[in-house]
Amino acid sequence: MQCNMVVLVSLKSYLKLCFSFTGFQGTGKVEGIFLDVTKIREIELSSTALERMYKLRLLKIYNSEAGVKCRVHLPRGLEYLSEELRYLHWDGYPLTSLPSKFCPQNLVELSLSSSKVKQLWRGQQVF
Amino acid sequence: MQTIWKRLNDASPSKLRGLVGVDSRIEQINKLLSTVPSDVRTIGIWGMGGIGKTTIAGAFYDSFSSQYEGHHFLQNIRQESEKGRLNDLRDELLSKLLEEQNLRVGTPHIPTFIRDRLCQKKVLLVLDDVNDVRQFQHLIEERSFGEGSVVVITSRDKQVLKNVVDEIYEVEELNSHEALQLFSLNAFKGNQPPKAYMELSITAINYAKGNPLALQVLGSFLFGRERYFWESQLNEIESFPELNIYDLLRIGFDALRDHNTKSIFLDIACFFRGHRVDFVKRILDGCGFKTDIGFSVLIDRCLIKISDDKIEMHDLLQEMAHEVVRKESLDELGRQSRLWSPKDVYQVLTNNLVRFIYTKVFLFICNAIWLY
Repeated sequence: MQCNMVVLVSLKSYLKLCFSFTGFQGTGKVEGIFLDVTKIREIELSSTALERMYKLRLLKIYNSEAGVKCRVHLPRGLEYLSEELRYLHWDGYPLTSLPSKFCPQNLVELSLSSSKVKQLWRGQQVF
Repeated sequence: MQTIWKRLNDASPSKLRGLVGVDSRIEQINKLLSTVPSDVRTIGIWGMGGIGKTTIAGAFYDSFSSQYEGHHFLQNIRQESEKGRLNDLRDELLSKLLEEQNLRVGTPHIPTFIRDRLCQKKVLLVLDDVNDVRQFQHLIEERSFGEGSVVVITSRDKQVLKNVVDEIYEVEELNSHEALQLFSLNAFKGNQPPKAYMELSITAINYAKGNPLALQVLGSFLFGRERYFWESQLNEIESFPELNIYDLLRIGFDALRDHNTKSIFLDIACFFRGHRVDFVKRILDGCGFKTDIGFSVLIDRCLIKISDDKIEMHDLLQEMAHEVVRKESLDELGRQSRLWSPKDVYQVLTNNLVRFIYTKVFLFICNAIWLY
């Protein structure tokens, strides 16, 4: 019995170690992303592109050159945005609403110019 | 009234603002200018980062702009040009020189009727931080200004200047006397160090090698500190194998110690340089930082400046901050706290998917093993 426990504990710590090596925490450290889309023209992102960026508090996706409209495409929607988000600026946000799971309780600045947003949130709104 | 204002303008402002060694450098620029025979004279101010190019150009502009019919100081050209705002800069320039509000030139070249008007005017123009000949050409095309006009251009790149200016003035480092004075202004708020600190001050000055930015940052973080703090910090500096100016600035950053102020500094360097103070303050307050305290500490330490309600910081300090963030993780971008370069963001946002799938598969296998 005791032997089993030892095996279990060591297996657990081994798995923990594996997690850290596979980059399970991965992007968990990112606190801010500013992306000038003009500099990369078009970009297509998966719906999980911002997944597990738990600490993300500043996100700005913008066009630096006036009159140029380069977009970030999200063909499969967007599933996750960090609850820690304080500043969200997204020129030409391609979806009609923000992720349904997104909880904007910490947001202090929201700017979605020339976007397709019709309804900011579906479901419960907490302010 | 006008003459009084003019006289006030003529009185050297550099002494009042605590600028050290600027007057003698302006004199040298004037000497160089007097050797240029052409009607419209252009002069380049060249030197390493932090040596005071912009400060000298600014002081020159302040002292002499009143003697010209039109004048303007165009700031941060390299930065604005990277943002694709050269046309806006040119509009700003023409509006100011011709004293017409909201002048908009839609064409790639300056129309002849505007150029004709410019040719009538004696102007003083400063183009600050030019790093490409094309910026110069786009902004003023030919030197179509009136007789006696002066164009001053600052740049870190001598090659760029060689192509566009009549003469180049190389900014020299501060001599030891000037360095001591500037350092003391920041470290003791006086012109000379107290006797007890003389030796330590001289050691500190030697590290800064006459670079005004380094002297200010170094001086202001030692301000008001005990002797033992000075000794330990200077010993630490001595331990650097090849001390360069970045290391000195980095010491100014490390000395901030509390997480709050450091985060504010890094956020400004990576994201909010040139933004309005109230906007940045609202967001950073929202992030839970004590922004008021942070700003005042950073200003005291010469790490940021607030001018025209905008937050500004020196290029070198921004580069140092970028380096700090990059060093958070050298192997993987996703472990960096802040991402600002389009290439890096692209990589992280597109790689995240791969990593996500990878992790899901890994978890699945782990679960299978666990259950088994």
